[in-house]
Amino acid sequence: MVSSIDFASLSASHPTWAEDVATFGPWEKALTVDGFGRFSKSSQASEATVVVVGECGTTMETARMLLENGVLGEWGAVLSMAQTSGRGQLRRPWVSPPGNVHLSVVLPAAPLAGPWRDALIDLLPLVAGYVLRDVLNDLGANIQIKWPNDLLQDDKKVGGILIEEKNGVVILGFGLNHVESPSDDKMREDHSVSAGVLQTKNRSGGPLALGATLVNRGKIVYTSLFDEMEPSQFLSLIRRQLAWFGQRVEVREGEKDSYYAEIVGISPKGGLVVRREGRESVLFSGSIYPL
Amino acid sequence: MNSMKPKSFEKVLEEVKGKRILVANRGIPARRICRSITEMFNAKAVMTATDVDKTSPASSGSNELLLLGADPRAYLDLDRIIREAKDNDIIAIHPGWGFGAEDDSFPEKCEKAGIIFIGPPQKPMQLLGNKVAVRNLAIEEGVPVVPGSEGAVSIPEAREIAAEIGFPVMLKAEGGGGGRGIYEVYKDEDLENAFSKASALAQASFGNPRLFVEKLLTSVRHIEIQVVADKYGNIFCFDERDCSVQRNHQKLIEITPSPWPKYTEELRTQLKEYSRRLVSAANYYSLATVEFLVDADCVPYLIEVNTRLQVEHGITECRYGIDLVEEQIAIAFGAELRLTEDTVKPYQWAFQCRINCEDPQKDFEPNSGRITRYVSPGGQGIRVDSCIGDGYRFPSNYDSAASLLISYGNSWLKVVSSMKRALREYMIGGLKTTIPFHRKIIEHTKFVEADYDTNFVRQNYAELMDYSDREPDYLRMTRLVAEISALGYNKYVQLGEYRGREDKRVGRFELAEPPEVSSWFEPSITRGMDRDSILDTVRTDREAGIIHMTDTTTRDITQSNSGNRFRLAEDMIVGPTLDKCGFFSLENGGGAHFHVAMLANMTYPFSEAAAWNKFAPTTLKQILIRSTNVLGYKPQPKNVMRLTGEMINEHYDVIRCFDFLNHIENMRPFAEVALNSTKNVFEPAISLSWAKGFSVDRYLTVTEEILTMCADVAGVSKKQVEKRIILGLKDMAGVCPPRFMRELIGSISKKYPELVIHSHRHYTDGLFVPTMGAAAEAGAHIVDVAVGAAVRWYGQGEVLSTAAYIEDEIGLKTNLDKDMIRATNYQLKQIMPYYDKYTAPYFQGIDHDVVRHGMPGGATSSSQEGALKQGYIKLLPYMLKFLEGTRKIVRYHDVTPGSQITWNTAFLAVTGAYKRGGEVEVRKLLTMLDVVNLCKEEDLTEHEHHARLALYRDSNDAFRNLLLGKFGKLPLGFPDDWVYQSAFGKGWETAIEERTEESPLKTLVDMDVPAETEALQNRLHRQPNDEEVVMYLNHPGDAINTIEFCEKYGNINNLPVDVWFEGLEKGDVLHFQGNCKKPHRMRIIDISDPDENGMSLVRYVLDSEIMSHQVKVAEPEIGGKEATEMADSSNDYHVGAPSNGDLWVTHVRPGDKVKAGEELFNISIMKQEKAVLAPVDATVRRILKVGNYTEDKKMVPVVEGELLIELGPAAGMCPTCKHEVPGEDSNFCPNCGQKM
Repeated sequence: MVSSIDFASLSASHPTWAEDVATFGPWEKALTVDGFGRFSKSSQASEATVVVVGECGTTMETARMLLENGVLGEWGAVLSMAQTSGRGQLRRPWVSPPGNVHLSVVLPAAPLAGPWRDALIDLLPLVAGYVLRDVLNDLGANIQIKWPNDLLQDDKKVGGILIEEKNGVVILGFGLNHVESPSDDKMREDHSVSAGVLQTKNRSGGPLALGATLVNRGKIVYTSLFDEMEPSQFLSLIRRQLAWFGQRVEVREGEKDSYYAEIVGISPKGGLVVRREGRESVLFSGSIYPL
Repeated sequence: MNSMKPKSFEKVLEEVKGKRILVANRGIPARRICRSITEMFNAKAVMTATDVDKTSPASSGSNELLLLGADPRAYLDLDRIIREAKDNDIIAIHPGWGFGAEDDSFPEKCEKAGIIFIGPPQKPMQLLGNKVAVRNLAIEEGVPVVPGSEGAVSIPEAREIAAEIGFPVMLKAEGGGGGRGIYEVYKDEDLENAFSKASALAQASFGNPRLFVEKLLTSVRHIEIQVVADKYGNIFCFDERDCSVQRNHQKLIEITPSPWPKYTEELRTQLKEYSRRLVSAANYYSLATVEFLVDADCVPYLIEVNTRLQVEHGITECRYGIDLVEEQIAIAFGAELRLTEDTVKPYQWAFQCRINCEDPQKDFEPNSGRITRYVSPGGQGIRVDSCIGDGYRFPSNYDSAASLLISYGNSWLKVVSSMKRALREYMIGGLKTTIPFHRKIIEHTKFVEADYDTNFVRQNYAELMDYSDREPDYLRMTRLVAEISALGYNKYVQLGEYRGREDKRVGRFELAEPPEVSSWFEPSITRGMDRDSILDTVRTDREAGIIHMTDTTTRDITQSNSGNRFRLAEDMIVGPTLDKCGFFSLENGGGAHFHVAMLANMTYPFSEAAAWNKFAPTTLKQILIRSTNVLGYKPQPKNVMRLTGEMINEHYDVIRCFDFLNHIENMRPFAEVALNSTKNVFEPAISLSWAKGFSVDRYLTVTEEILTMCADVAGVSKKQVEKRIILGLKDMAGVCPPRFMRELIGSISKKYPELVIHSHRHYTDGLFVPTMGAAAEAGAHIVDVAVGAAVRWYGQGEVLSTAAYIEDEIGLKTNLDKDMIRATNYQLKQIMPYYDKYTAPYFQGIDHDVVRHGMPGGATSSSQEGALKQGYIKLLPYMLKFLEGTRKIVRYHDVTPGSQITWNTAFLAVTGAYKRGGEVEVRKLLTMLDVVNLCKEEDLTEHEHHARLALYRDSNDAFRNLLLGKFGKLPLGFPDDWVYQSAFGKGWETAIEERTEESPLKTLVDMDVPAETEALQNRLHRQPNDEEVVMYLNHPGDAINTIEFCEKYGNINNLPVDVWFEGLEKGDVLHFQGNCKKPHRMRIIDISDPDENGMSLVRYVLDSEIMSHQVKVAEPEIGGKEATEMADSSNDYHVGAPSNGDLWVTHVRPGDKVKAGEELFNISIMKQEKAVLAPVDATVRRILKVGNYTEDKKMVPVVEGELLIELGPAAGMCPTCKHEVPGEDSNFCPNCGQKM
């Protein structure tokens, strides 16, 4: 369910929202989208469409609904003030209070030609992490990627990524702890690292400003990536951005006992290559834990 | 200059003899260098090897290995290598190329350890090896360089320089090389973004973020000069190597000298002079390569200098007849350069292809794995430097270079031809290589004309990629033989497990040729005559009392189910003799024969038809088509019909066309194709039944309709068109008695005296011969027969007995070479036992009751067989009774697809009644059927009005579609309303409103042929040919199976019939010919017992090679290692894992009905969640793995292609095997092959 919201309650939800409401104003007259209610349009120019909703279940579903209703196209995004059932991977809950960024973007189809045509399907989780890191680092964030795509800052998780593909359309969701982060006791029992709040050297604005930056800049980084490098080059680049690269970590894979291994690289299909007792193996699932 | 005293080469030889020299490398370079070390210097060649490499073919080239342990990257650990070398009394180290060869700390480290480095000294190496330094040196020395920045730049500097030299420009990583680290920038506004990316990338890839800017030259050739220099200032420059054929800056092909027509002696001298200057200025010794780009106006620009032995050094060796590695070693040991302009002259052309284990068609994806076959090329002018061999498991840890193939000779065209030949000889099986791609390059005219630049591959990409990478057909075919032999049966004939490996065999097929027939026989009709003269001859002959005959031996006789259709192999045995028998025509195509070519014979049907016209060139060929359905089972859109029709016209002379409803309009589109040609004879045929309402008058009306339609299509009068066509009479059930045919043909001949009549019937009622006699007597011109040994009751009658009857009893004549027929019969006597043993239907006797139940030829047998197999044999008499009755209620002709609809209706009605109330209920049903047929409507009681509705309550969609007119107009009109009430139930009134008498063609939209062609192309990864497109448009699934089968196994028609059905026994020898007629010999050595995965290993000798092939002969044991069941990608009902990942949620349970597009399960792949949707409306049949992460926190690992959910059709059931079938558009049961 999506609740429509007025500017007053949006501004009241968190000071950062109040800032955004002011920054993006004046707001032009309302337009109505069937089934979703009335929307106002910012007078500030933006290349991408970012639809702001009040409280929703999850922006993933809202984005898909808007897509199916023709409201969103490629690179169209949904940003919500709060989520009642925000989710992470495998339907794990994601704490989504006002002020944090909860955003879902409709990704374009993979390139039709060139080496990325077939490679992207495997590497998308890494590409998504790379793109977000790139944009956030431009804001002075110094983010590292915990394979495959958790965003770490000083070894604390400040953001997470969720990619859902259905019917050939990929929706990329991400949550950023912009103003607050759950304490350890609120995290799932087997969490890997503690959560933290994103710190940026440059001003990032409120959730909408940050969300719009992520979409607009992310689009450029994402699109140019395919022209600029081949998948193999991308892999060597991303390797250096991995948290704990070259270090020993604990690996937990499914039902098996956990073990210690050294992170040594990324496989051509995007798996994490770890070395354990001299033998290398590739992880496609499972989690890594710092020692 | 060095102050050491120069040594002679001989002195070095003496010094090095027996000493240990280490090659710090692997693969091709290691092997290459060890060869020189051992052969020339008699030194001990020691090679480094990690665990992956310690048993590689390359390692066999060394005398000893220096083991580096498990870490595959240990070749980069120079300190360790030097330490171990020291411990192992190594006196010198050669770095090869790649790995440490470009590390300028290597010479110094060696020096410190007191080991000779076989390469340049550190300082000059740094100078020439650094792009910025060498550029500055070049500018100082007056060597032209590509305009650009002097050294690494900042973004503002880059912008300034770009403005000066103009776009496009390149951003190059200072630390890059070998084509890596290069960014092209075409516009000013892209510069900034590209700069930061390139810099980050350079940092990541080379540990150095510095970039410099250069002008991007758009059409250039890559030309390089090999230089060798000693420590005393002697320098020798070799002729250029042209390395312009590249992909993404990676060299693919290298040539010396450059074949580029514009390349001049002046340019050569100039480039050598530039190279000499640089090497000399740097005080460099050892080998170096100076690389230039030369633009279209022959202006050279220095790009870089490589300070090591290069991959392409071999072609220079071939051009000069020298050994560069040998010189390099001698120089390192202080020898004076032996080579001078006077003593060393170029005299050969040489040309190298880099053979890599990559799949060009998958964007050059590297592939690793076991090499199952390795045959190296050789012969005049060929050199191979490889690091692979038979059985070698090519590792994934290193680069994909497998082999360097060089051809050399005294002219450019000679080396191109030698290379072409060598690439043909080169066999690397088990993984994909760049060999076929190189073949495409070498076949390209622009390449041969040397009209190429560095963009050659990019600009001709699509063309170069259009190949199919296949092993020779005979090799592929032996794998099929291995498969049949291991299983004991051939699963591709679609007859199930018809025999086991230990079963008795019919025995080896060794054809004994018939004794020679001395033939004086002259046929009166031959191929090549036009339509009018053919028909005139038939008419003149008939006036002279001569009856012509059509032979159906290779079509109608042998097509009734999937296995008993003759293969082209058998056709090729009987075809040439049949061709000389004097038949009017040979029916060798059409009907199910077309489809079964793909379904069970893995043969292209039109290629087969073309072959026929080669080995049997004289007699006309005849085909049967099913009006709107042409060669399929449902009405074809007009454009598909036209495409198919054009191919039919090309390969067949007589085109017989029927419609099971005698709805003549349905034949119109095909008449348009056939009557348009004066070469082809169109034979519209009347479907005959012998039943109430189907009287002579009725058929005269149909004849009139045929003539009207044909006259309209041809644009002539009916009288004229009478002379242009043949009228076919098709009694496909074999039910019309002699008296009826006599009356029918008599009436037609009387009314249309010029019309040529061709009578066709089956043997089913046992009255074939007298009926054909009556037909002939009444005026038929042509009758259908088949040759003795092939005759079965379900097909046509026999030729010689029919001829005897016509000649001796009726007193007419035939025009046949009977000895030639006997010769054909003798061949058939040898072939038929194989077909009879494995493919003959259950019921082979005469069934005169066909006149009651009306089931045609093949259908009677297969239907009754189905009833028996399913345990309904006790209901068969009732089913036949139902058939007899229902034919009087819903009236049409007993032929495909009508006969199948009738049978299914009877089967479903009787089994339905049986399930409701046993035999009592069945008898009630049949009594009701009698009542309906015997009583008038007004005499029926209220109870009977109600009870008759049970008759069609179990009917299927096909029957209902027939009632709706979807197949065409019913010949005697729609049945009574109560039939609709019974078949449709509640909605029956709507059904009556919606039914139509229009031809289905009217509403059929054209197929999007280009889109379908593209779909096929995407599936095949290559351009399909015209025949493949037509096959695909008609039967998409089976066409793809056939095309893929032929790619996998080659041409099955090279196999004798015994091996096709029975395979070989251990020790048996098979002599066969491949497609190019070369003889081969295959013998099976062993067929192993199945392992825990159910796999049996067949080992066999092919010619002189020992081969092995794994065959799945049993189900894997539970817990077997490879027990995973894989989804069949061609089966919509198999839903597999889209890639390796974890199943975490399954949304459906067995029995659920799902709609197309509904999410079935979700896979997490590297934390990306992928919804897998139902491809079609279906029922969930089987769930192999279930995910429920939210509840049990378990992720279920799955592998790509693993079957996770098996769906079943939403509705429908096969009458034979009770398998559900997907609605009414499927023509064959996917389980048992029963025609639907």
